[in-house]
Amino acid sequence: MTAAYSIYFFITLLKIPFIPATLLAMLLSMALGMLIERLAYRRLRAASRLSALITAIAVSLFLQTGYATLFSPDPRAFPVTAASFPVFHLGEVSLSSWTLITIAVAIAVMILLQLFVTRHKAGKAMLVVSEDVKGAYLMGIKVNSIISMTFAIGSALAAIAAALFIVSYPQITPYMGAMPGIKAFIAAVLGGIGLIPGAMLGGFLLGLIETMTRAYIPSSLSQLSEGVVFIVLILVLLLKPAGLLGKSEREKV
Amino acid sequence: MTKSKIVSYSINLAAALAVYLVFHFLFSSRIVSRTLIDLFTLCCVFATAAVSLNLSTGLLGELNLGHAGFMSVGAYTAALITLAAGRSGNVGILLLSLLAGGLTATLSALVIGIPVLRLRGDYLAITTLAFGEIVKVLMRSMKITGGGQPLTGIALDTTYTIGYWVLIITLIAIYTLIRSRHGRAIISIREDDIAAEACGVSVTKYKLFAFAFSAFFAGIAGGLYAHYAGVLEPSFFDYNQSVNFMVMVVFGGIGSLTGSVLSAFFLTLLPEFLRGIDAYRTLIYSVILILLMHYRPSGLLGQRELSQRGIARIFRRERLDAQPISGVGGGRAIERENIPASGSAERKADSALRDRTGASSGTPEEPLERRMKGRR
Amino acid sequence: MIGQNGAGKTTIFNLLTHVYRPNSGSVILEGEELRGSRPHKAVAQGLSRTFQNIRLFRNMSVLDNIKVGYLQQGKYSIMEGILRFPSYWREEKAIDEKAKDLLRVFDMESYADYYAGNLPYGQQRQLEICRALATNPRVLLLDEPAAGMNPSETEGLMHRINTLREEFSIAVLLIEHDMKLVMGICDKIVVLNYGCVIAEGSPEEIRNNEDVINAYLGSEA
Repeated sequence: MTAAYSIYFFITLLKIPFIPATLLAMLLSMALGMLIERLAYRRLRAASRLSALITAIAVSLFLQTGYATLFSPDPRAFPVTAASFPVFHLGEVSLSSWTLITIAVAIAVMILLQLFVTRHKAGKAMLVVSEDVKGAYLMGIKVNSIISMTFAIGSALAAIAAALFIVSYPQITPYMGAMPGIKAFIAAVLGGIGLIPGAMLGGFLLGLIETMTRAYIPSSLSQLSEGVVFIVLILVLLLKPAGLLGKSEREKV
Repeated sequence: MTKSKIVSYSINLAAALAVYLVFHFLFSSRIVSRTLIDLFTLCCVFATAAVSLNLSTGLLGELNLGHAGFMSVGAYTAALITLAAGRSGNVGILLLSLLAGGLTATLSALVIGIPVLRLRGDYLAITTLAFGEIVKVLMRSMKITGGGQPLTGIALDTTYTIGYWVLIITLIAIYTLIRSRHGRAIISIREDDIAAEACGVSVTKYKLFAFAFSAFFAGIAGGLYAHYAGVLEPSFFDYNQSVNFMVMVVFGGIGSLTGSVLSAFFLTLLPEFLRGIDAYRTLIYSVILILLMHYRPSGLLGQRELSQRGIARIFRRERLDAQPISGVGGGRAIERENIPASGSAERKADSALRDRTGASSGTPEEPLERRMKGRR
Repeated sequence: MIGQNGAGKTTIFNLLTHVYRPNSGSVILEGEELRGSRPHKAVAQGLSRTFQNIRLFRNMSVLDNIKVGYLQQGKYSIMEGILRFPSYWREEKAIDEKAKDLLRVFDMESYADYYAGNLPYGQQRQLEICRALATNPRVLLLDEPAAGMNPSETEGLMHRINTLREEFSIAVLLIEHDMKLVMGICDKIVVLNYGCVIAEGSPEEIRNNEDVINAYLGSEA
């Protein structure tokens, strides 16, 4: 949401074109993410899951109402839409090039991230920190920097996602991030928490399922399409408790 | 029952009655505005919901992000029953509908719980979230519940009397449960479910029970709400509402039932007091939350309960820290947070906390920390 | 049971207590075959265990920890508990006394109201044994009970385990690396290596068994 607003203002007020605006928004997001981590989450590293969850919810509430107060809660129309991109016609099917761009960007980003996490030293350090913070300290890993970096990367990716999102759904409101946020979490869990290919798989699956349901379900039951995502999640977790790609680790007794 | 127990119980009951009578006189004497009376009733309803959530999240230790879903089930069941019965102002029918609401909520808890409670940590949390949303969608799509339109015309039968006493009954029921062998079993699951199983606790059975019991009272709270508001909308019982209740539980202290009551009242009344600065209400609320999590993560009462012993101590002006009051395993030795024990991430956080505060199972000859008086 | 780390000793405990289900073979106790799918059933069948990494209910009092062990012996139902029937008062009083008696055997009476998580290490290990005893087992499975103890504590543990056997008539199955303890109190020793039993016998026999010396003990045993 914050990235969406940033891009919006860069384009409309500063007349910066779309792609540079997105890059600038990424930088802003990274800064915001690192700031939030420093202020709100760092102290809670040793705290319980629940405390961190509530803090995160409070932060998102703060951002949403903050933006609503500052920039008015009225929806704004985003000037760049999918229509601005050329449309291909393959026989009877018309395909917007924006759709292709979205998919391509998503896949590229995921591949880059996976390579980063498995090949690059900092990426591997990130995995280590998530496994065992104390051990990471003992190995000389600068844990604070790595965690800040993680938030920076996450926020930058969120900015990219925002850019992709608002072109397809060109309406910006302060609360636009809530539902996508929940669905993102569901997608991550669906694919297996902690696995990047899992998140990618989960995201694509969820998107497909939701769109298909909405397309093919009779309008009398249209409400149900909203619930489909959640039903799928529960069914998948029942069959594969650690997510689609997750390996369920039995705790060694 | 020993004589001292009878005395102790009588004092508690008398206190509950006294509090009620105070409010009763205030409310019936027209000093207090209708709005405040309604607010009090709403606080009671939400406190019931918070206390029931404390059972599944605080005492059992399972993160439940779909509590509002149980309320929703109870609310619609109760509303539909009184709507069908047609008459308003009949306490008997109201109570029956509340019971029915509680039972359907319990049923739904069993339906979702049996397959799902074997999941751990994050995964369980997200399925409870999913459950809440599914309930919302179902209520929106079924014709009997209004089919997307709000369900109106529900008799406004929830009085402050009914709200208060339902809350008291809920408190008593969960409190006595926890201080019994079954309650010990439930808490042991939170502490270490593998060890609990090794001691003979049937983890599956007790998890399911705690979950269902918690849902029962949530359903009743939902029914109460339905007859408070007169109108039911599926979107009221959504993820945000579940989070609200979660915040109430954490704010009051995980594992502290009276803490949940206090915080429910406080957090329901807070927006009203902030009404002057309407625009900034939610902003201030979110900042308060963040500060709370940073500086007092164990909440208002930690694991302790508002008890006779605690109040007596206040009068004797002893430092509360020196003699921690009980809850089950209550009291506060080091800044020990109550950490839901399921899922390995929690265990890591737990051990990280213990290491940070210097208490660790690997260190021999740890100097003994404070004494704790258990209260049975 | 002795053997290298990774030989399968804890795995056997897990098999005995239904944490793992065997692919083949069966568990037979006093002539009857034990079958069960959940660990809590093992407790009902008379097997109780402690853990290699201490697993106490840290935020519960020492007394409460032990009372959890008495769960299966209690009779009052959930409703009777909530409504505070006479059975509740009767049983709670009995459990309270039994738990305190158990603590007395281990000289831990004064710790009754402490947080389990605040006990010194040695006492935590003892509490785990206490809790396991509360379940009234026929066989007590102790997983490295002397780990991290100094020699005098180990000595105390040896006496305690002997007391257990005599006063409570319990069989004790021990996993240990501390040879003084093992040779001192064990009637029979089983040696595991890479998942197989390589020797069984009295302490004397094991001490002089060549395979065992090569695989595990070293020549200084």
